[in-house]
Amino acid sequence: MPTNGLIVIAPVRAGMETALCQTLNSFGNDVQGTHAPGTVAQPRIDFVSSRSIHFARLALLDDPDRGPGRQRLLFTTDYDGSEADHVQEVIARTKHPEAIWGCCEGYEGPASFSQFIRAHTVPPDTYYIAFRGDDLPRLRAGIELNDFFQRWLADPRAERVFNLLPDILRVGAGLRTFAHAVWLPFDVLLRALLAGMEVIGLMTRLGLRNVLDAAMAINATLNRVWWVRLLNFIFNNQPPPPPSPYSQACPNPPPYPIPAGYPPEDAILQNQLTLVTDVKPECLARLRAVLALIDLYGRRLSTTGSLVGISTIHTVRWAILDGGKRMLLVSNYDGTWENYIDEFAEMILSGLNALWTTAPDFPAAGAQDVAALKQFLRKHQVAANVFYSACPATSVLNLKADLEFAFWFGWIVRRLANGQKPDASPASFPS
Amino acid sequence: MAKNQTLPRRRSHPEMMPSPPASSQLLPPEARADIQGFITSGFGHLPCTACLFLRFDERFTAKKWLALLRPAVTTATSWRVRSDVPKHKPSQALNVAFTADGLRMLGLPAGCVETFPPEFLNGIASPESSRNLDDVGDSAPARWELGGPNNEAIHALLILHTTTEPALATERERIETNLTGFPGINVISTQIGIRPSTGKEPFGFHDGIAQPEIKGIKGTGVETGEFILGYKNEYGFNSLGPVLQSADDPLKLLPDSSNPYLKGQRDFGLNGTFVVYRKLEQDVAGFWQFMQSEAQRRLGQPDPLFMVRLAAKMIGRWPSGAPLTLSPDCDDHALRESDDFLYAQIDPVGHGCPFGAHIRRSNPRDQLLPAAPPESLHMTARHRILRRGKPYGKPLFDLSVLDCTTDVQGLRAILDLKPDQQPRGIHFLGLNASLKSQFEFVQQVWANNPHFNGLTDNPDPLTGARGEPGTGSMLVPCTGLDQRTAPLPRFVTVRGGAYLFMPSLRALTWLAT
Repeated sequence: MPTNGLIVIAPVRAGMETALCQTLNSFGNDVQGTHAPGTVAQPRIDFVSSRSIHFARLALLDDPDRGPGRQRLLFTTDYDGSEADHVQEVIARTKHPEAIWGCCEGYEGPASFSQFIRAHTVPPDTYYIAFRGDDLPRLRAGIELNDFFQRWLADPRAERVFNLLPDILRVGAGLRTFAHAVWLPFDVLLRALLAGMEVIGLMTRLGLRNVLDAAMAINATLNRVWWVRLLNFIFNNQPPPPPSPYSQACPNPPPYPIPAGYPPEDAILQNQLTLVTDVKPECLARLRAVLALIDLYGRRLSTTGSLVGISTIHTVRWAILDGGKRMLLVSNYDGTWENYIDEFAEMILSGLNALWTTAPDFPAAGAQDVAALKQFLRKHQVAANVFYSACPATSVLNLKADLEFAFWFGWIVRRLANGQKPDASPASFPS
Repeated sequence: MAKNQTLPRRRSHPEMMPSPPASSQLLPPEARADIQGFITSGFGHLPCTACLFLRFDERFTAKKWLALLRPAVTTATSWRVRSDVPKHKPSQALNVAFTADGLRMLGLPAGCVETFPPEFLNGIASPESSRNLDDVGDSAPARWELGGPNNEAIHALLILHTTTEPALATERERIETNLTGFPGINVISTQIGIRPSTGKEPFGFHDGIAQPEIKGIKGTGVETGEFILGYKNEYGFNSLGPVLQSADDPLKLLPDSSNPYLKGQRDFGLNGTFVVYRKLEQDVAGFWQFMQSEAQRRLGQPDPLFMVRLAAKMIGRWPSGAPLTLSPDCDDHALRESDDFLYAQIDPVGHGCPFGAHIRRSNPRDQLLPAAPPESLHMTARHRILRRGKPYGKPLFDLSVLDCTTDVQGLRAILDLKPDQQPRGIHFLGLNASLKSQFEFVQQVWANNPHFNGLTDNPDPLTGARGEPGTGSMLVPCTGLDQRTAPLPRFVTVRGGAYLFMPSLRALTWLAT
């Protein structure tokens, strides 16, 4: 069952901003509902018992177009199944919906929640998910199985058991390598064909020039992909060298405020980034092409668990907001913020430039000036009030290994997954 | 095809760009005369170190003392005066660094202090740094014996290097006597570290082999700006340092900042760097007892060969220092100083050196998954630190038994080791241009991260903190089935620490004036 992404942005009723923020923070600081038993009765969305929600986030964005101090609620999820079922599940799992959704304009009770969500849904311009075809029960079963296996490795008897198996495994591995080698060229061709057809569609929709420019900008440093390297060579596409060795970074930037009361960023494993940047009007058309192309790379040209070589992203999405005035980025990633940005600056430098040269205050030397880039990102980052992850203790690389492992022992996985099929139909919710 | 026509033009840079220090070339003699010698040399010929931690009660005396100290500070000036004459190595070296409190005490204006990075200003014992470094439990700053919230504030660190222990005692006494003439400067603590001629740290392994080379000194290696402020770093930009308003430097002791974005400021940071001090206590008995219990569990008997092998897997080098990647099956003394190797080609899955091994995670070289080797090397180079550690305490057992890792009889010395309650460990001194993106990054993202390079529940077996009881074990990839150890106890406990700034000689002059 494919996993989809939802973005909802709903204006908060005037005067209710603080109350909503407090409600969300007290929920966000105990997403798992384990700290204090009393908090479970408080307004919250019971993500933990869901069998279809991978990630969820609630954050309050400024709403400058509606006046100073006004805010809007950002709600994003990554879920399995149909959107209608998902929306039903969200409202069914919301305790005291009036304290959360009721703070938003247009909410008129649980009965019309679907209409409310539909009215405020923002379609993502780019959506990437590391494991597109793997639903949550499957991921969880893979994790469980590999955890069990890792524990088993500590047992001295494991080796003796293993020694009974190697021939079967070796034959299996050989077959798989062979099948992979045979299938690979077809796979590459098929993907390239589909991508090519989509690119033609994009050119007619977004303008030939915009798409070509966007492709050149994104590809400039993406030389590790062989066909990009070839194209870059043919068109002599290189990023401009930094104009000077002086970083534009401010020596005493304002500290990044995770305001008091907000849930802290994770120091080690999974983390989140919400970013709203301004878009220069003259760059909008090209930015749309950039986003469409990144979406295409993510869907057609990336292998499972890797976006053109980056394996720290669980899901990421971009959306153009407010008729093109702003761009929203919502990502769920592994590791620390510093590491995430460093890896981006190394692996997809030109992609970052293509995306954010559209912002008026992007560093003059581009993302290569990593010190200034980090200050730019921190400046526009929005602290999330609620961040939920269904598998918070696994990185993308872990999940990749887990799924690989589950491929071998699929029958066990199916056994483990049995009885907990992804189920978002309202009838399955606890009352 | 015209390129990026609709791309917004890069904003034009300020005119009159001064020429930057060319770091592709060697540092000029005047720059080396401004850089403290501790940054560019580990003083291999000076194995005895004393770290004197000082507290200033009063600014005027402190400045007076500093003015007298300044000419004695060892610089990075080359020891080779002429090419036809052998190097003239100094018989002792003296260097000095300050904490944020120390700089404030010496009268550095608030406007300049603010331009230091927050992790330095907040100090190593701040909640954020403790979280990044995983200094929790027994390693929490509240339990430290040096630095941290419950001990006297550290203002300065004086690092003395000498050739012999008697020389160290004499020189240290001379400094301390001299300090008595400056009421208001207190020696909070003196920490002695001696590097044995074998180079072995208390667990019994040859340490301090892998050391990045500074491009400005050696001509090759990691960009100078990763270790010295004001020069080009691995990102291609000059590393950022603190700046001072020109008005605060009427005597023009400091150079003008060459950064066009910081016009009208003096460069306080140029030729300086940041220093990490950590007192790391090692539980040697616990370390070898764990190997013994693993041998017992796996083989049913305490086999010293298995124990040494497992310990080597955790460290990534054999006791002699030979890397497991180059010599996976047995120790090889010919490779004891070897550091010229990569992982991706010869040891891609860690059958030699496991991914979780200490040296593989403190310097992943060309295999930082999932990046390809060139990208990995590039990313790794952005997070290196210069290590200047010195062991302290008497060895728990005769470490030379580990020199012959096939001599089962000799190796029986590592069986049934009992703790003797004597402190031993390492005075870790690290140097980097950014505490956050180098020292803290390595600790947090590589060493302490149980998911480093796709691992699960595998923290650094030596320095990494431990999570919930019963978790955190070492995965040893084998040609057959991989093996996992039992949950790892913590073998290294942090007993003290400080973040310091080691200024240039010119900045020292400013501080002393």
